[in-house]
Amino acid sequence: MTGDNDAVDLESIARVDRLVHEPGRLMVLACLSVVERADFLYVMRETGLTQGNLSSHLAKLEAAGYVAVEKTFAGKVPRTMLRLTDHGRQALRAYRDTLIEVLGRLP
Amino acid sequence: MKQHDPIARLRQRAYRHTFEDGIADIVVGVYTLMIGVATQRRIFIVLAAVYLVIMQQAWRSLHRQVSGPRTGYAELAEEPPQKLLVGIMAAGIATMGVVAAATWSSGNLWNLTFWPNWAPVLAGAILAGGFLHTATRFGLWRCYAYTAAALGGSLFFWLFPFGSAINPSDRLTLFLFSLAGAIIATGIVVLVRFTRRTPAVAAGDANDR
Repeated sequence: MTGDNDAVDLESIARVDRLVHEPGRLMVLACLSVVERADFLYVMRETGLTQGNLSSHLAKLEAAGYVAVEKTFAGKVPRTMLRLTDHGRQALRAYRDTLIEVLGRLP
Repeated sequence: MKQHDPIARLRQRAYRHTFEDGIADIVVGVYTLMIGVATQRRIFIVLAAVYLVIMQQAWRSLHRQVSGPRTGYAELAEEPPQKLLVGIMAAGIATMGVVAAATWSSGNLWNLTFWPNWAPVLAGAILAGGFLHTATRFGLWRCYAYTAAALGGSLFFWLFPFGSAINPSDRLTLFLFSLAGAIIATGIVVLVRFTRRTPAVAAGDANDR
Protein backbone atom coordinates (compact mmCIF):
# COMPACT_ATOMS: atom_id res chain seq x y z
CA MET A 1 0.00 0.00 0.00
CA THR A 2 2.82 2.33 0.93
CA GLY A 3 4.41 1.64 -2.43
CA ASP A 4 1.21 2.73 -4.26
CA ASN A 5 1.10 6.00 -2.33
CA ASP A 6 4.75 6.67 -3.16
CA ALA A 7 3.99 6.05 -6.83
CA VAL A 8 1.14 8.57 -6.70
CA ASP A 9 3.44 11.17 -5.07
CA LEU A 10 6.11 10.63 -7.70
CA GLU A 11 3.57 11.05 -10.48
CA SER A 12 3.03 14.64 -9.38
CA ILE A 13 6.70 15.35 -10.12
CA ALA A 14 6.15 14.10 -13.66
CA ARG A 15 3.29 16.60 -14.06
CA VAL A 16 5.73 19.53 -13.89
CA ASP A 17 5.47 21.61 -17.07
CA ARG A 18 8.76 20.86 -18.79
CA LEU A 19 8.50 23.94 -20.97
CA VAL A 20 8.54 26.11 -17.83
CA HIS A 21 10.94 23.85 -15.92
CA GLU A 22 13.96 24.61 -18.13
CA PRO A 23 16.06 27.21 -16.18
CA GLY A 24 16.54 29.59 -19.10
CA ARG A 25 12.83 29.71 -19.93
CA LEU A 26 11.94 29.92 -16.23
CA MET A 27 14.16 33.02 -15.97
CA VAL A 28 12.45 34.60 -18.98
CA LEU A 29 8.98 33.91 -17.57
CA ALA A 30 9.94 35.16 -14.09
CA CYS A 31 11.43 38.32 -15.61
CA LEU A 32 8.31 39.03 -17.68
CA SER A 33 5.99 38.23 -14.76
CA VAL A 34 6.98 41.44 -12.91
CA VAL A 35 6.54 43.85 -15.84
CA GLU A 36 3.68 44.76 -18.14
CA ARG A 37 5.95 44.25 -21.16
CA ALA A 38 9.62 44.57 -21.95
CA ASP A 39 11.86 44.62 -24.99
CA PHE A 40 14.32 41.92 -26.03
CA LEU A 41 17.38 43.80 -24.73
CA TYR A 42 15.90 44.24 -21.25
CA VAL A 43 15.12 40.53 -20.92
CA MET A 44 18.54 39.60 -22.34
CA ARG A 45 20.30 41.77 -19.75
CA GLU A 46 18.15 40.65 -16.83
CA THR A 47 18.47 36.93 -17.58
CA GLY A 48 22.08 36.95 -18.78
CA LEU A 49 21.15 34.78 -21.77
CA THR A 50 22.85 35.25 -25.12
CA GLN A 51 20.89 36.62 -28.07
CA GLY A 52 20.67 33.22 -29.77
CA ASN A 53 19.76 31.40 -26.59
CA LEU A 54 17.02 33.87 -25.73
CA SER A 55 15.65 33.76 -29.28
CA SER A 56 15.47 29.98 -29.09
CA HIS A 57 13.66 29.99 -25.75
CA LEU A 58 11.27 32.71 -26.90
CA ALA A 59 10.36 30.73 -30.00
CA LYS A 60 9.26 27.81 -27.81
CA LEU A 61 7.43 30.01 -25.31
CA GLU A 62 5.67 31.86 -28.12
CA ALA A 63 4.67 28.59 -29.81
CA ALA A 64 3.12 27.44 -26.50
CA GLY A 65 1.26 30.74 -26.19
CA TYR A 66 3.09 31.65 -22.97
CA VAL A 67 4.75 34.78 -24.36
CA ALA A 68 3.47 37.27 -26.95
CA VAL A 69 6.14 38.69 -29.24
CA GLU A 70 5.44 41.98 -30.99
CA LYS A 71 7.76 43.50 -33.58
CA THR A 72 7.62 47.27 -33.55
CA PHE A 73 9.75 50.18 -34.69
CA ALA A 74 11.15 53.00 -32.54
CA GLY A 75 11.77 55.45 -35.37
CA LYS A 76 13.79 53.41 -37.86
CA VAL A 77 15.13 51.02 -35.23
CA PRO A 78 13.32 47.68 -34.93
CA ARG A 79 12.23 46.66 -31.45
CA THR A 80 10.98 43.32 -30.20
CA MET A 81 8.50 43.71 -27.36
CA LEU A 82 7.70 40.74 -25.13
CA ARG A 83 4.72 40.17 -22.88
CA LEU A 84 3.68 37.31 -20.64
CA THR A 85 0.23 36.14 -21.75
CA ASP A 86 -2.54 35.13 -19.35
CA HIS A 87 -1.92 31.54 -20.40
CA GLY A 88 1.78 31.95 -19.59
CA ARG A 89 1.01 33.47 -16.19
CA GLN A 90 -1.32 30.56 -15.41
CA ALA A 91 1.38 28.08 -16.45
CA LEU A 92 3.93 29.80 -14.22
CA ARG A 93 1.54 29.71 -11.24
CA ALA A 94 0.68 26.08 -11.89
CA TYR A 95 4.40 25.25 -12.03
CA ARG A 96 4.96 27.02 -8.70
CA ASP A 97 2.01 25.19 -7.11
CA THR A 98 3.25 21.83 -8.37
CA LEU A 99 6.73 22.41 -6.96
CA ILE A 100 5.27 23.47 -3.61
CA GLU A 101 3.08 20.38 -3.63
CA VAL A 102 6.01 18.10 -4.43
CA LEU A 103 8.82 19.73 -2.47
CA GLY A 104 6.93 21.74 0.13
CA ARG A 105 7.49 19.12 2.86
CA LEU A 106 11.10 18.41 2.00
CA PRO A 107 12.90 17.81 5.32
CA MET B 1 17.40 33.21 8.58
CA LYS B 2 17.05 35.88 5.91
CA GLN B 3 14.47 34.96 3.27
CA HIS B 4 15.54 35.27 -0.33
CA ASP B 5 12.73 36.23 -2.68
CA PRO B 6 14.00 36.38 -6.27
CA ILE B 7 10.63 37.59 -7.64
CA ALA B 8 10.59 40.52 -5.20
CA ARG B 9 14.17 41.36 -6.23
CA LEU B 10 13.22 41.13 -9.92
CA ARG B 11 10.33 43.51 -9.28
CA GLN B 12 12.59 45.94 -7.43
CA ARG B 13 15.17 45.76 -10.24
CA ALA B 14 12.43 46.52 -12.77
CA TYR B 15 11.37 49.57 -10.75
CA ARG B 16 14.96 50.74 -10.28
CA HIS B 17 15.51 50.32 -14.02
CA THR B 18 13.00 53.11 -14.61
CA PHE B 19 15.06 55.46 -12.42
CA GLU B 20 18.62 54.54 -13.35
CA ASP B 21 19.00 56.98 -16.26
CA GLY B 22 18.17 60.08 -14.17
CA ILE B 23 15.40 61.18 -16.55
CA ALA B 24 12.77 60.71 -13.83
CA ASP B 25 14.73 63.04 -11.52
CA ILE B 26 15.02 65.72 -14.19
CA VAL B 27 11.33 65.48 -15.03
CA VAL B 28 10.30 65.61 -11.34
CA GLY B 29 12.63 68.59 -10.87
CA VAL B 30 11.17 70.46 -13.85
CA TYR B 31 7.66 69.64 -12.60
CA THR B 32 8.53 71.04 -9.16
CA LEU B 33 9.92 74.16 -10.86
CA MET B 34 6.71 74.60 -12.88
CA ILE B 35 4.64 74.11 -9.71
CA GLY B 36 6.77 76.79 -8.05
CA VAL B 37 5.76 79.22 -10.79
CA ALA B 38 2.14 78.02 -10.72
CA THR B 39 1.77 78.77 -6.98
CA GLN B 40 1.63 82.46 -7.95
CA ARG B 41 -1.54 81.85 -9.99
CA ARG B 42 -5.11 81.29 -8.90
CA ILE B 43 -5.56 78.22 -11.14
CA PHE B 44 -2.70 76.47 -9.36
CA ILE B 45 -4.47 73.11 -8.93
CA VAL B 46 -5.57 72.97 -12.59
CA LEU B 47 -2.05 73.79 -13.79
CA ALA B 48 -0.56 71.16 -11.45
CA ALA B 49 -2.84 68.48 -12.94
CA VAL B 50 -2.15 69.53 -16.56
CA TYR B 51 1.62 69.68 -15.95
CA LEU B 52 1.52 66.23 -14.36
CA VAL B 53 0.03 64.67 -17.50
CA ILE B 54 2.49 66.51 -19.78
CA MET B 55 5.53 65.59 -17.70
CA GLN B 56 4.49 61.94 -17.48
CA GLN B 57 4.35 61.74 -21.29
CA ALA B 58 7.68 63.56 -21.56
CA TRP B 59 9.32 61.16 -19.11
CA ARG B 60 8.03 58.07 -20.96
CA SER B 61 9.32 59.35 -24.29
CA LEU B 62 12.73 60.49 -23.02
CA HIS B 63 13.28 57.38 -20.92
CA ARG B 64 12.53 55.21 -23.93
CA GLN B 65 14.97 57.13 -26.12
CA VAL B 66 17.81 57.18 -23.57
CA SER B 67 17.49 53.79 -21.86
CA GLY B 68 15.96 51.82 -24.74
CA PRO B 69 19.17 51.40 -26.77
CA ARG B 70 21.35 50.95 -23.66
CA THR B 71 19.63 48.78 -21.05
CA GLY B 72 16.39 47.97 -22.81
CA TYR B 73 12.89 49.11 -22.08
CA ALA B 74 10.37 47.73 -19.62
CA GLU B 75 6.90 48.96 -18.80
CA LEU B 76 5.83 48.34 -15.25
CA ALA B 77 2.42 46.94 -14.44
CA GLU B 78 0.18 49.92 -13.73
CA GLU B 79 -0.80 49.64 -10.11
CA PRO B 80 -2.98 52.15 -8.32
CA PRO B 81 -0.36 54.05 -6.27
CA GLN B 82 -2.44 53.69 -3.10
CA LYS B 83 0.50 53.49 -0.71
CA LEU B 84 2.09 56.55 -2.32
CA LEU B 85 -1.16 58.52 -2.03
CA VAL B 86 -1.67 57.36 1.58
CA GLY B 87 1.91 58.39 2.42
CA ILE B 88 1.46 61.83 0.83
CA MET B 89 -1.92 62.37 2.50
CA ALA B 90 -0.60 61.22 5.89
CA ALA B 91 2.32 63.66 5.60
CA GLY B 92 -0.05 66.49 4.65
CA ILE B 93 -2.55 65.71 7.42
CA ALA B 94 0.23 65.39 10.02
CA THR B 95 1.56 68.81 9.00
CA MET B 96 -1.90 70.34 9.13
CA GLY B 97 -2.23 68.86 12.63
CA VAL B 98 1.02 70.47 13.72
CA VAL B 99 -0.11 73.80 12.22
CA ALA B 100 -3.49 73.49 13.96
CA ALA B 101 -1.77 72.74 17.29
CA ALA B 102 0.60 75.69 16.87
CA THR B 103 -2.11 78.16 15.91
CA TRP B 104 -4.46 76.83 18.61
CA SER B 105 -1.81 77.27 21.31
CA SER B 106 -1.47 80.94 20.29
CA GLY B 107 -5.25 81.40 20.38
CA ASN B 108 -5.53 81.83 16.58
CA LEU B 109 -6.77 78.44 15.42
CA TRP B 110 -6.53 78.26 11.60
CA ASN B 111 -5.60 81.92 11.30
CA LEU B 112 -5.00 81.89 7.54
CA THR B 113 -3.19 85.21 7.51
CA PHE B 114 -0.09 83.22 8.44
CA TRP B 115 -0.52 80.54 5.78
CA PRO B 116 2.37 81.80 3.61
CA ASN B 117 4.69 81.09 6.54
CA TRP B 118 3.80 77.46 6.97
CA ALA B 119 2.97 76.66 3.34
CA PRO B 120 6.59 75.53 2.70
CA VAL B 121 6.33 73.04 5.58
CA LEU B 122 3.11 71.60 4.18
CA ALA B 123 4.63 71.31 0.69
CA GLY B 124 7.86 69.88 2.13
CA ALA B 125 6.03 67.23 4.14
CA ILE B 126 3.95 66.18 1.13
CA LEU B 127 7.02 65.96 -1.11
CA ALA B 128 8.99 64.14 1.59
CA GLY B 129 6.16 61.60 1.93
CA GLY B 130 6.34 60.85 -1.80
CA PHE B 131 10.14 60.65 -1.89
CA LEU B 132 10.30 58.46 1.22
CA HIS B 133 7.78 56.03 -0.24
CA THR B 134 9.82 55.80 -3.45
CA ALA B 135 13.07 55.41 -1.50
CA THR B 136 11.84 52.59 0.72
CA ARG B 137 10.08 50.76 -2.09
CA PHE B 138 12.88 50.91 -4.65
CA GLY B 139 15.92 51.25 -2.37
CA LEU B 140 17.08 54.45 -4.09
CA TRP B 141 19.59 56.49 -2.04
CA ARG B 142 18.79 59.60 -4.10
CA CYS B 143 15.21 59.59 -2.87
CA TYR B 144 16.37 59.42 0.77
CA ALA B 145 18.48 62.51 0.02
CA TYR B 146 15.48 64.22 -1.62
CA THR B 147 13.38 63.39 1.48
CA ALA B 148 15.96 65.04 3.74
CA ALA B 149 16.26 68.02 1.36
CA ALA B 150 12.48 68.48 1.25
CA LEU B 151 12.17 68.43 5.05
CA GLY B 152 15.29 70.52 5.72
CA GLY B 153 14.49 73.02 2.97
CA SER B 154 10.89 73.45 4.08
CA LEU B 155 11.97 74.15 7.68
CA PHE B 156 14.57 76.64 6.47
CA PHE B 157 12.11 78.58 4.29
CA TRP B 158 9.56 78.50 7.08
CA LEU B 159 11.83 79.73 9.88
CA PHE B 160 14.57 81.83 8.24
CA PRO B 161 14.03 85.53 9.03
CA PHE B 162 14.00 87.00 5.53
CA GLY B 163 12.32 90.09 6.94
CA SER B 164 11.04 92.51 4.33
CA ALA B 165 13.55 91.23 1.75
CA ILE B 166 10.89 88.97 0.24
CA ASN B 167 7.13 88.76 0.17
CA PRO B 168 5.94 86.06 2.67
CA SER B 169 4.09 84.25 -0.11
CA ASP B 170 7.40 83.86 -1.98
CA ARG B 171 8.71 81.48 0.69
CA LEU B 172 6.89 78.56 -0.91
CA THR B 173 8.03 79.51 -4.41
CA LEU B 174 11.66 79.89 -3.30
CA PHE B 175 11.52 76.55 -1.48
CA LEU B 176 10.17 74.77 -4.56
CA PHE B 177 12.74 76.47 -6.83
CA SER B 178 15.61 75.43 -4.53
CA LEU B 179 14.43 71.84 -4.26
CA ALA B 180 13.81 71.66 -8.03
CA GLY B 181 17.34 72.94 -8.69
CA ALA B 182 18.86 70.27 -6.46
CA ILE B 183 16.79 67.47 -8.03
CA ILE B 184 17.52 68.59 -11.61
CA ALA B 185 21.26 68.90 -10.88
CA THR B 186 21.32 65.40 -9.38
CA GLY B 187 19.34 64.04 -12.34
CA ILE B 188 21.78 65.57 -14.84
CA VAL B 189 24.76 64.03 -13.00
CA VAL B 190 23.05 60.62 -12.97
CA LEU B 191 22.14 60.96 -16.68
CA VAL B 192 25.70 61.87 -17.71
CA ARG B 193 27.17 58.98 -15.69
CA PHE B 194 24.57 56.58 -17.10
CA THR B 195 25.20 57.53 -20.74
CA ARG B 196 28.99 57.37 -20.25
CA ARG B 197 29.01 54.03 -18.45
CA THR B 198 26.34 52.32 -20.53
CA PRO B 199 27.00 52.48 -24.26
CA ALA B 200 24.19 51.89 -26.70
CA VAL B 201 23.88 48.36 -28.03
CA ALA B 202 23.89 47.89 -31.81
CA ALA B 203 20.34 47.54 -33.09
CA GLY B 204 21.05 44.08 -34.52
CA ASP B 205 22.28 42.77 -31.18
CA ALA B 206 19.33 44.13 -29.25
CA ASN B 207 16.56 42.29 -31.04
CA ASP B 208 15.18 38.91 -31.71
CA ARG B 209 16.62 37.36 -34.85
